[in-house]
Amino acid sequence: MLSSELVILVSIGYVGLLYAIAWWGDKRARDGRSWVRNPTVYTLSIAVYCTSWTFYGAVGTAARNGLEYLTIYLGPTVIFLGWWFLLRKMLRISKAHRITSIADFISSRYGKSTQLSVLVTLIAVIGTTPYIALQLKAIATSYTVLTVWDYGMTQPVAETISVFSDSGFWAAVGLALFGILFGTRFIDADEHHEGMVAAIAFESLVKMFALLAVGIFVCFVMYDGIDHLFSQALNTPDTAKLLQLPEDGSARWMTLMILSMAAILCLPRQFQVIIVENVDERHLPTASWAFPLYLLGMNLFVLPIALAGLGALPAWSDPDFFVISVPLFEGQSLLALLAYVGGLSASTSMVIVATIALSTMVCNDLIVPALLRIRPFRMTERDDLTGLLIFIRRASIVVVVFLGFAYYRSAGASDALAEIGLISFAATAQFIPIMIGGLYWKGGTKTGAQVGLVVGFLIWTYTLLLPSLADSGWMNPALILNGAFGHPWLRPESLFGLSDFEPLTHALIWSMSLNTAFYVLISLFTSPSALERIQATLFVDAFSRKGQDTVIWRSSASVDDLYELVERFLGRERAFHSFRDFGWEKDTPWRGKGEANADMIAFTERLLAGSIGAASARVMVSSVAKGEMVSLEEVLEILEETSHVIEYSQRLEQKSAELEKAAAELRAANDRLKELDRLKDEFLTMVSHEFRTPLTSIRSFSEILVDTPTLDHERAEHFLSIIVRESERLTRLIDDHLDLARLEAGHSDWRAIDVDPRTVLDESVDAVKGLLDRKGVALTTDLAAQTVMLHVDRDRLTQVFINLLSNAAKFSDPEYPSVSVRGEAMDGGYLVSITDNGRGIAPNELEIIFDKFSRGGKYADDKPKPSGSGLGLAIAKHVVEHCQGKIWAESPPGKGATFRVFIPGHVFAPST
Amino acid sequence: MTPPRRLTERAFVLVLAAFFAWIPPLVGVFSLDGQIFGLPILFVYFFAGWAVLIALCAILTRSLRKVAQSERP
Repeated sequence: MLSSELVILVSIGYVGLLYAIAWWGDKRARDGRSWVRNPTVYTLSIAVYCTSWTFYGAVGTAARNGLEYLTIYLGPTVIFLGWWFLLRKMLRISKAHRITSIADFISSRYGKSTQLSVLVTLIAVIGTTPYIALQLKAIATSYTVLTVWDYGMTQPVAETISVFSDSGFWAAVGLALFGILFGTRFIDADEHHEGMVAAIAFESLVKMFALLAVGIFVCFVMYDGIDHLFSQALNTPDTAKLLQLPEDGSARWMTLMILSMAAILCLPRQFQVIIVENVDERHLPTASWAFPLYLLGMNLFVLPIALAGLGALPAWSDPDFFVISVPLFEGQSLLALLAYVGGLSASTSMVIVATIALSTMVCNDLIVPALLRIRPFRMTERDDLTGLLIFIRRASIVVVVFLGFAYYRSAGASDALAEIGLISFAATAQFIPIMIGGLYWKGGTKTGAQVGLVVGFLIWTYTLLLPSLADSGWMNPALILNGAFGHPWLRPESLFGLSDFEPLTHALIWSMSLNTAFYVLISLFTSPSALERIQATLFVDAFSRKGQDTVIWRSSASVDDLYELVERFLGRERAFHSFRDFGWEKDTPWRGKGEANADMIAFTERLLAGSIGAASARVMVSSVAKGEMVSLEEVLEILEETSHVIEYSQRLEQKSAELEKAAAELRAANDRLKELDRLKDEFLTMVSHEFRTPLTSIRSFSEILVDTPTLDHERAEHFLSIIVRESERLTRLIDDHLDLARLEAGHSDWRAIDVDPRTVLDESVDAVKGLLDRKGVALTTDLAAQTVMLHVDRDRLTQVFINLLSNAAKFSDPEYPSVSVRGEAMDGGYLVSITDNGRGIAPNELEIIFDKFSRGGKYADDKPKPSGSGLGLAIAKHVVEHCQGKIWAESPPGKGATFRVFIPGHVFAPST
Repeated sequence: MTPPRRLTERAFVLVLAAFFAWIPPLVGVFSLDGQIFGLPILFVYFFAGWAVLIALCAILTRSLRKVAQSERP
C-alpha cells in the first residue's frame, strides 16, 4: 500500500511533466526546429492505440480467456503490414484535401455532405464515450488498488465514493485541461498539434517501459525465467487451458480480429494520429514495421503477468489490475508505482487524443454547420471567428470528457475493461463499409452511405448498447430477455433467431452485413450528384491523378473578401503568410479589390477546410463568393447548351445560305422567265410572220386559181408549182422548228462517235454539190493533212456544215459566186472556216446572227431572202455548243463573211 | 531494382499470409500440448511468427519506399 498523498503527488508530477513536454514541443515547432517531425515520434504517437485497455485490460483478458487478447493487436499489425494498400492511400487523399478528422474524410468522399459528417460525428462521440469511461475507470481503480491494497486484505475493495472524492473526476478535470491547453492553442491551417504529439510519444515510451519492467520482474524475479513460469502454469488445469485456444472460440476470434482491424482505421484518435498529425508521408513506411514491433513488445509479458497473478494472488483479486497488484503483493511498492504511472500514461494519452479528435469533429462537423444554418447568428458576417472556434473546441473537449465520466459513473463501472472497449470498437467499425467502399468503389453514393451507416448504428445500439445499459440496471432487462414487443425474433442478443453466437459476434454479424448490404444496394439504385462524382474520382483514383481539387468556381469574389474570410478563421498572421506564399507561388496578386481567380477561391476553400472541415468551408466560401459553385452537372449543361446554340446557329447559317441561294436562283429563274416570255412573244411574232409569208402566197395563188376558171393551163401550172414550193418551205420551216425545239429542250438523241472531221466535211460538200453547181458557185477546199479525232454526233455535225455551206452559196456574190472551205487541226481541236465572197455581215449583226429568225440580216438595203427558215444558224450554234465547241462569224468589210467552227478533240499524227 | 508491380504483389502476399496465419482454422492447428524451449507451442507460434512477419515487412518496406519516392513528382 502506498500513501494516497504520494500517489497524488506522483500523478500531478507526471501530468506536469506532460504539460512541460507538450509546451516544449509546441515551442520547438513554432521555432521551426520541430522535434516531432521524425518517423520514431510518429510511430510512438500511433502507439496511443495501447490504452489502459492494453495496459491493464489485456492482462485481465489473458487471465480470463488466454491468448484471445492477442487478436486486438494482430488486427492492427495486419493493417500496418499492408500499409502500401490502404493507409498510404488514406494518407495521400487526406493530405491533398486537408482532411481534419474521420468525419471530414467520409463526408468529403461523399460530396462534402454535411448530413454525413454530422452522422459520423454523432456515432463517433457515442461510440467513444464508453472508451473514455474505460480510461477514467482504469485511472480511478488503479489509484484505489494502489492506495488501498494491502498484503493482509482478504476481500475486494468495494466502496462507493462521492463524485468529488473520485479520482476519476480529478483525472477528467486534468485531462480536459490538457486538451484545452494543447489541443486548441490556436486554430491551425494544417491542424497539427506538435506539442500533443510530443507528449503522447513520451507517454508511449513510459507505458512500454513500465509494462516491460513489471514483466521482467515477474518472469525473472518472481520466477526463474519465463519457461519456469509456464511450467508452473501447466501444472494447474485452470491456467494450463489458457495456453491453448478455447474449443469453440473461432467465431469470437474472427470477430475480434475484424474489430481490431477496423478500429485502427476508424477510431477517431487513431485517424487523428495516423492521418491528421502525420507531417510526412515518408514516415509511414517506418511505422509499418515499427508499430507492430511496439505492439509485440507491449504484449510479450501480458500472458506471463496474467499467469503469475492467477498463481499467486487470491482468487477475488481483479485480474484487470494484476499489473499493479502483483508487484504490490510481492512488496515492490516502487514497481507498483511505476506500473501505476504506466497505466496513467496509457489512459491519459488516449483521452487527450480522443478528446482533441472529437472536439475537432464536433466543432467542424456539428456546431459550425449548425451555426451556419441559424440565420440570426449571422456566422457568415462576423469579424473574427478564431476566438469563437477555439471556444467551441474547448467546450467540446469538456463535454466529451465529462460524457465519458458520466458513463463511467453510471453504467460502465461494473464491466470488465475489455468488454467496454469492444462495444466502442463495434460502433466505430460501422464506418468501415463506407470508408473502404469509398476508397475503392466509385459507385458508392451519399444516400447509400447514410442509410448503411444509420442501419449499422441502429443495430449496434439495439444489440450491444441496450444490453450493456440493461446490465447496468438502467433499463428493464425484460426487453433484452424477451425482445421488443415480446417477440422472440427481436431479442437484441439473438436477432431474427440467430442465437448461435455470443453477443459481440452476433452484433457484428448483423450490423456489418446489413450496413454493407444497404450501402451497396442503395448506392446501386441512387445516382450521385456531380460533386459526389468528382470527389469519388479524386478519392478512388488518388494515385493516378495529378493536381488537387478540380472543383470549378464561378464567382465574383474579390481577393480581399477571401483574405478577410481566411483571416477570420485562421487569424491575421496565418492568413497573411498563406496568401503571400500562394501569391508568390502562383504569381498572382494576393491583396486588393481585384477579382479572385478560380484557383484562389479553391485555395481558400482548401485552407478553410483545414480548420473547419470541408463541408463548412464550402458554405463559408460560397457566402463570400457571390456566385455559386459550378457543379459538374451545370458545366455539362452549359456545355450542352452552348453546343446546342452553336449547332442551332450553324443550322441557321446554313438555312440562310440556302435561302439566299434559293432567292438568287429564283431571281435568276424569274429573269430567265421574263426573258423567255419576251422571247416567246418575239418568237410568236416572228413565227407568225414567217408562217404568214408562205401561207399568204399559197392562199393568194389558190384564190386566183379558184376565182379565175378561165386561167390557161400553163399559168395554172406555174401557180400550182408556186403553191407546192411554198408548202414545202412551210413544211421545212416546221421541221426546223421542231428540230430546234428538241435541241433546246435537250430531247434530241445524240449518238457521239469518234470521227475524222475531214470525212464529215467531204460528205457535206458532196451533199451541197448539186446546189452549188446549179448556182455556178466556184468551190475551193483546203483540208490540212494533220487532223484530230472528234467525239461528236456525225449526222448533226454534217447538218451544221451543210447549213453553213448552203448559206455561203446563198449569200455569195451573185455574179461570180465562190465559196472556200478550209479545215485545219489546231491545238486541242479542229477549226473549220467557210468563207463566201458576198457583201458580208454588218458589224452590229455579227452577234445576233445566230439568234432565231435573225435571218440574213446583212446590210440594211439587203433584200430578204425568203428561202431559208431562219433557224439554220440557231440550230448550228446549238449543235456546236453541245460538242463543247464554238461557232462565230467574221466579216471584214468588203471581203465577204467567214463562219468558223471550232470543236475540241485529240491531236493525231498527220496521216500520209 | 525489382519492378514495382512485383514488390506490390509481394506486399500483398505478406498481408494475406499474416491475416490467414492469425485466424481460424490455422491458429487452431497450433493449439497443441507440448513445448518448444520450455514455452507453449501456441505462444511461440504467435510471437515468433509475429517477429518474422515484422522482419519481412521491414525488408520489403525498404524497397517499397524507393518505389514510393520515385513515383512522387
